[in-house]
Amino acid sequence: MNTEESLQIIQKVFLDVLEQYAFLLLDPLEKEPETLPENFVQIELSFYGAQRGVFSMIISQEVNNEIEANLSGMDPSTFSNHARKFDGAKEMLNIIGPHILTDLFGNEEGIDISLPQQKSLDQETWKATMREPLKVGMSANGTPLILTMHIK
Amino acid sequence: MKILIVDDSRAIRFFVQKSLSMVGINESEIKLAEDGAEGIKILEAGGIDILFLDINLPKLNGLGVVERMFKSGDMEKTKVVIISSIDNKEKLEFLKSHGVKHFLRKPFTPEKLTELFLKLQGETKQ
Repeated sequence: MNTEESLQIIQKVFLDVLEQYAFLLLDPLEKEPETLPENFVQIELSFYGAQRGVFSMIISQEVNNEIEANLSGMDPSTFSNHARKFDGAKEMLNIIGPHILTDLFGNEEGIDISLPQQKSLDQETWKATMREPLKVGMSANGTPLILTMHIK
Repeated sequence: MKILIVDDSRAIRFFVQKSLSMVGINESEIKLAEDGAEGIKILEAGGIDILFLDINLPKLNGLGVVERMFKSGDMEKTKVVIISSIDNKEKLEFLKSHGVKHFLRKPFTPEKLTELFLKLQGETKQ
């Protein structure tokens, strides 16, 4: 499978899960920000075994809260400190990652996944992420939402 | 009816809880755990009829929970529903060989969940 075919699969899973499960309507990201915007974090999900690599989602606090509210039916004003754990974004990546792995490699290969982890995000990481070949950039109400898959 | 939801995502625990409330299940009938070890403690206290269990969990994963339940004989007493996005053949075979019969692959709708729940509730009452 070439990069273009892999990207199509990644984008389809990304859109399907966020739209159908978190009721988040996404548009293509017309222009990627050149520098890291404020209040964004990186959520990572590693996979290992027959295939090794990492999924990474760059997401804002605002979009995370929207996902979490839509998923749980909870009022975002009650989130307070909890939202800083980026639970909604972690759960989305926990769903998106295994679906992409199955669509790319089938379900017979022994591939394990880690627990999703929140990572701090700096300008260097942002720039490196923007250079990833398997990258899908979308916009949620004008706010960027980026997913990458890095296969080692 | 006593139900246990084991998932490390607070949003998913609420999602399942909210879905069950649509078919008349009260909060008092539901226990929540955010990792496998906490789930095992609640299961060991007894009385859980239906368990909704994620696979990718901290401390003790869903496979570990099922393995312990299988060894202790709890699989006979509690109906287990795996709620996970993991579709790995080896893991699914492990779960089936340890007595798991019900799987809901994430993402799933409240309707899918309640449909399965009502079926299991009916079997439990018989």
